[in-house]
Amino acid sequence: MNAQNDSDNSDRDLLDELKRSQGGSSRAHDSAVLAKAAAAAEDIAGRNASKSSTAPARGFAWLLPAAAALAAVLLVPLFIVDDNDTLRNPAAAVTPAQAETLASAPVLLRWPAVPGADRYVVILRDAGATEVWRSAAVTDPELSPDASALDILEAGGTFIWTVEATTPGATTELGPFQFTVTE
Amino acid sequence: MQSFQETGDLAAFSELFARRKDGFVDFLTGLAGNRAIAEDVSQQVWTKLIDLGKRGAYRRTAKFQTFLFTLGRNLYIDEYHRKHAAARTDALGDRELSDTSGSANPGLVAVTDERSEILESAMAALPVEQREVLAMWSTGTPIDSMAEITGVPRDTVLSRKKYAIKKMRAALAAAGIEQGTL
Repeated sequence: MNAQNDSDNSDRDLLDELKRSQGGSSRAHDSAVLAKAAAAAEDIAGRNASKSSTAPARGFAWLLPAAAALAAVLLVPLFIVDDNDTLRNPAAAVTPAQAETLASAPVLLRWPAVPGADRYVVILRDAGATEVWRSAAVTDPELSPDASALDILEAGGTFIWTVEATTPGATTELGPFQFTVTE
Repeated sequence: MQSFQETGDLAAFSELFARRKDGFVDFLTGLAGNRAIAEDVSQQVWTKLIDLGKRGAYRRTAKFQTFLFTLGRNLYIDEYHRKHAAARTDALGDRELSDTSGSANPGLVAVTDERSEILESAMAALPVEQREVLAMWSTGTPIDSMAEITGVPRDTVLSRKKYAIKKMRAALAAAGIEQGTL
C-alpha cells in the first residue's frame, strides 16, 4: 500500500492533468437516461398498483373488506385527496403532466391538495437531481414560477420537481414529478 | 437501485445517477479515447440497469461502482474495441474518432488545448489493458476494485498502471513535456 501511495504521490502531476481533462457527462446524456428512468418508474409503480389490486382475486377475496378498511386508515397519507375529495394517484393530477414535454417554460405548477396542508414548498431539480430552485411557501396547491425559476426553466432540459406539503402534524413529500422543456 | 426496482422510486434513482454518472463517463472516455463513444456506452449501461430494475431482475454482487464500471468496460470491449480493432490500427484511429463534430457535447470534446491533445494522444497510444487502468486511476477507483473490474490479480493491475505511466511519461517527454512540468 505504501508503495502504491509513493507512486501516486510522484505521479500526482500526471493524475491532476488527467483529471483536468475530464468533463463528466453531458446534459443530453443525462436527460436521455432520466427520461428512460421516469418511464420505467411509472411502469413499476403501475405494476405494483395492479398487483395490489388483483391480489385478492387470487383466492384471498375474503381479505378485500379488511384490506380496504386498513388502507383507508393507514394509506391515505400515501395518496392525495383533491379538492373534490377524490382519491387519486398524485402523478395523475399534476400540471405539467408527468413526463410531459413542453415547448416553453411552464407558467403554472399545480399539484393535488393534501388534506390539512397549510403550506407547500416546491423544489425544482435539474436532470442530475441537483436542486436548482426552491419556492417560497405558498398556501394553495399551485404556483407560478417566479423570474429566477423561469430563467432556469427557459434554458431548457429535463426537470424533476417535488412538493413539501406541511400539515400541523407532519410534512409529506409529493412527487417526484418530471417534465422537459425543449427550448 | 433496489428501491427503484421495488417501488419505482425515481428520486432514489436520480440521486444514484447524479452521484455516479460523471465518474463513469470520465472512465469510459479515458478507456475509449472518445467522449461520444463513452456517452453512448454509458447510456446503454444505464438503460440496461433501468431495464433490469423494470423487470425486477436487478441483482448486484459487488459495490455499485465496481458493478457499473464492469458493465461499462465489458460493453465497450464487446461493442467497440473488438469490432473496430481491425479498422483502428493505431492511435490515429482514436484521434480521428475524437473529432466529434456531431457529438452531443462538442464543447467538452473539442481539443483546443495543445497539452490536452498531447495527453489524449499519449493515452490513446496505450494498449487497452493499460489505458483502462489509467482511466480508472484518474477517477479515483481503488486498486482492488480495478482488479475486480478487469478480472486480473491486484499485482497485474499495479504492473499495468506502472507501465502505463511509464509510457505516458515517455510520450509526453517526446513531446517536450517533462515530469513535474505538467
